[in-house]
Amino acid sequence: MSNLKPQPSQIVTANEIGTGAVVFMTAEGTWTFDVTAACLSETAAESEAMLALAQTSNNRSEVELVCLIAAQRLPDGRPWPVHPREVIRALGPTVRHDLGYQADIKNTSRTLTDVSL
Amino acid sequence: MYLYDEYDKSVVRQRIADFRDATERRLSGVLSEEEFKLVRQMNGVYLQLHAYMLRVAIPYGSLNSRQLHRLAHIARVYDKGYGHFTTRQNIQFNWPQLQQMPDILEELAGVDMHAIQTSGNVIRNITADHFAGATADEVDDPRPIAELIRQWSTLHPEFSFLPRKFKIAVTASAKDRTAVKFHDIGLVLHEDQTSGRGFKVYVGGGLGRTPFVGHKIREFVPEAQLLAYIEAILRTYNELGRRDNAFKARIKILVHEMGADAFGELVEQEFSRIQPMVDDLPTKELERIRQRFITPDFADLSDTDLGLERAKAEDPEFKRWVSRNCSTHKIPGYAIVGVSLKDHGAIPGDITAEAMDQLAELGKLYSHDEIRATHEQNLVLPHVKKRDLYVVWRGLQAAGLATTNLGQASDIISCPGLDYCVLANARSIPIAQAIAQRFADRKREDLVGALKIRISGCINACGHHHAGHIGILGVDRKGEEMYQLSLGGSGAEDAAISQSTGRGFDADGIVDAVDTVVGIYLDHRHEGENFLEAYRRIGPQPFKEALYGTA
Ligand code: SF4
Repeated sequence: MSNLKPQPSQIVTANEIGTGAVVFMTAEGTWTFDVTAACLSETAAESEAMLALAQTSNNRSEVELVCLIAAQRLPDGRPWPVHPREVIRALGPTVRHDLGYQADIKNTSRTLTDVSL
Repeated sequence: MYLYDEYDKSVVRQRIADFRDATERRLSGVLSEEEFKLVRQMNGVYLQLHAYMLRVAIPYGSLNSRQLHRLAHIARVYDKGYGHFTTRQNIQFNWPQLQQMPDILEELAGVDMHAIQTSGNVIRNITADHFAGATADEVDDPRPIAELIRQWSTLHPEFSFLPRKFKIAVTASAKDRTAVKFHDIGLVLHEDQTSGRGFKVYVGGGLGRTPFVGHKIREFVPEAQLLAYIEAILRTYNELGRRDNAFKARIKILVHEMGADAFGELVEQEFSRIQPMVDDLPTKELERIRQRFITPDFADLSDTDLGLERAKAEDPEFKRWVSRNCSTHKIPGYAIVGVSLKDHGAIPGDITAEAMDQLAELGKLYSHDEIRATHEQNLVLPHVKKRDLYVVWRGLQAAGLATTNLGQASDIISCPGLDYCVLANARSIPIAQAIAQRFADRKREDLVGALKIRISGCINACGHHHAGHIGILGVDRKGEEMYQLSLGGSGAEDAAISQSTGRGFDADGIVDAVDTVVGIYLDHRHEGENFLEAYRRIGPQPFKEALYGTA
């Protein structure tokens, strides 16, 4: 389990309680399935604040396993996970493109193979 | 098949009612993540990378057609149209929703199935030879014994909080198809002219971070005393096993640290203490259980079937399948049919709901309503008349289940790895797929012959890589998926732990490395020698030189 300390360039992820689906926290403190819509921190202090927001009581009955993961900023300004594990979590199994979040987005411009590490 | 009685049914129903209640309280936020985790794990529910996963026990791997149809139904209605057979004769569903979980458990209970003891530090699903009750080489059907242990251990208060999970396997055949020596307890039923029927007992075997081949601590435990003996083992372990460090808590560590002889000694002491207090209950219980097993009503047939011989002569494809996928049955005129879930390039162990339904029908019509799951992630139709083999083969073809590769290079055991598993370091399925595809040319696959390739996505070794002739272990090296290669393992009666060749490979490199290793085997083998035999004769050096050079 990635359980990182607050650092710059992180996003908050969790699993939805009802489905177990992977979600990411937006700048508004809501949850999205789209990793590129997540809020990307600039500083460790921002990461810490994001984590605190994610762990508020309101969120606790919606999501579980809240944690910070490392993310990079894509050239278009949006966040993308650094580690292959997190890319797989964000998209779905690489051996079944018809399953997971990747199956729900018609025009996904990015896949695991696009991401050079 | 074993038939549930009313007591079995009420235990399962009560568990579901409790779980439904807990699930509702979790969904409404009353129960915390930690509070709920224990409850869901006790019911076989895991939270994996993308979703919840439900692991359903298939005790000793036996299913009837109703049960397999029900699994297909669950896959279709509550999941994404498929299921995954594991390396411990269980099936997993990868996408069920939490709120539907109690309903799924109800569906399972309706066909006498459940997910109890598929998780947690308890005695897990008891595995048994998948050819049990069918193979010509067994002393007796080991499944009633497995069932006896299952009933005795289910929700056993003393053993519900063991230091770690505990796995037991039973076979009654000298040819080991259950990897008994890689279990916490491995039992081999055998018969002795003077003492009668009893068990060889192995303890402390296991894979994972520290793999060990199990040690034999008793040559013969009489059948009637088996439960007392197992209890003595568990008590000794429960008392002395380490609870301070999860990595050191399995019985194998205890047995290794104190020595098998010393451990066996303590077990004997405990056994002689409790043995006089235990009556011959096991014998009576066994009788009751045996009666609840339906033995197929086999027909009186000649062992050779002319139709079969003709079909083999006319259709070389069919002949190849018969010789590769079918095994000798104890009853003349019958065969055991192996069903491969490893089509070249497919995901090992995955099967669609449609294929499950089709196989269930074939099992009902042609295999005395029995289907088996193997720990090698394949299925079996255990009792097929030789005269029906051709029809069954055509049926399997129609279901996409007639791949002829059992025991060969592309019949790879692979754990789910990083595509699904929350503990994984690297992906295993794509590696299995790429290797299998290298053997899609059947001439090459037949040339190579018997070969067991096993892949795990982390050190937990669910893919049994240590027991593979060729083993592959996924590791994470600074965020990159890397693979370590090991050679010379065996999960059979000649159990051995595979040894690392050295430096690891990346995803492409490991597939090439397997090719290289197979090439060296082909260069060096003697007439009729399989991979493992050749490796044992020539040792690791020629392989290492080919992989890394002589420098
Ligand atoms: S070996 Fe590791 S990666 Fe594979 S299923 Fe087991 S825990 Fe998961």
